[in-house]
Amino acid sequence: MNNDDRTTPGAPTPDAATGHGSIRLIEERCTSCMICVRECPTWCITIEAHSEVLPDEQGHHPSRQRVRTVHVLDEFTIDWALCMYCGICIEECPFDALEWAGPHVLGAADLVGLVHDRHALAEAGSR
Amino acid sequence: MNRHGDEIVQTTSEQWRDAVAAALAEGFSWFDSLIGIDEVGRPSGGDEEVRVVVRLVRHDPEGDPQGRQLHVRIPRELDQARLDSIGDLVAGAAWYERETHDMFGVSFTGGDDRPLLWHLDTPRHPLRKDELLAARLETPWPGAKDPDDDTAQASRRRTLPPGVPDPQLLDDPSVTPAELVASLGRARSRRARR
Ligand code: SF4
Ligand code: SF4
Repeated sequence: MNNDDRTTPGAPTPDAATGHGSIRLIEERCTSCMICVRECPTWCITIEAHSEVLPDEQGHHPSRQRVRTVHVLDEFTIDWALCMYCGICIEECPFDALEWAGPHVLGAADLVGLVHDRHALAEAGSR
Repeated sequence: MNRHGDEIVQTTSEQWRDAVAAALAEGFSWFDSLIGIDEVGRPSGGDEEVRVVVRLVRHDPEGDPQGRQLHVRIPRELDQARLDSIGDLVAGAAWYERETHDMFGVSFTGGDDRPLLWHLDTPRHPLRKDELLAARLETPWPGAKDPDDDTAQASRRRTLPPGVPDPQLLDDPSVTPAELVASLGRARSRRARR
C-alpha cells in the first residue's frame, strides 16, 4: 500500500476508489478535543482522556491566575460495527489527527472484536 | 435559481397541481423527486409549516438539462398538511407521495396514503423534527464526556447530543414543536473548508 501518491491530506488512496475501508489515528496530533466523538452521526467513537497540569513554570506561573493543563489521551476506540464511513470525523478534526487508511478492517468473531483501540487504529492500513 | 442552476417556483396549495401540469407541458417531463422539509426551527421562520418540493427536469437534446423546483408551504398541523395528488400527472410520483406521507405526515388528496416504508399501528412521522428519537434518548452519548471534568476548567455548559431535546421539556404537555426543536442539541456548525 503506497500512501505517498496522495495530493490532498485525508483523500482516499487510488486503490481505495471503491470505498473507504478504515481510519487511522495519528495520536501525536490528537488533543482529545472530543469534536470527532460529538460529530460522529453513529456515536461509534469513544475517548477516555484526562487533563494534567503542565509541569513547573508552564503550568503555574505567577502572572497567570489559572493553571494551564493539557489533555492526555488514555484510550480512543472506533466501533467498526457502527461506523458508516461517512468521513465526518476526518473532515471535522481540527488537528488532522484522523485520516483514511486503506482496506477494510477484517471481520471478527464477535462484535467486541470490531471495536478497535488506539493501538489498532494507529496501525490501520499498514498491515 | 438556486446554486445548482435550478429554477425555483414558489406556489400555493391551490396552484400546486396546475403548476406541475404547466411544467410538464413545458417539457419538464423527467420526474426527479418529491419530498418534504419540516420548516420548524429553520431561519425561514415557518415554524408552523411543512414545505413540499417537487423537482422536474427538462432534457434538452441541444444543451444542458434544466431543473425546475416547485415549492409549496402547507400547514404543519396533521389534519391540514394536505395537497392534491399529482400521481395521475406523473405516474412515478405516487410512490414519493406515499413516502412523504410516511415521513412527514403530508396527505395527498386523490392519491394513495397507504404506508410505504413505515408500518406502525400508531402513525409517527420520523422526519418531523419534533419526533423523538427513542434510541438517542436511551443510549449513553459518548460525547457527554469532558476530559476537563476533573479540573476547575470543566465546562459548565451541559452538551446535549444532536437531535435530543432538553429533557425538562419532555414532561411539559404545553410545549410547542418549535420550543422542542429549539432545545435540541446541535452539531457544531461546519468549519470553513480549507
Ligand atoms: S467515518 Fe463517520 S461513522 Fe465512521 S467514525 Fe467517522 S464520523 Fe463516525
Ligand atoms: S477531533 Fe481530532 S484532535 Fe479532536 S479528539 Fe478527535 S481525533 Fe483527537
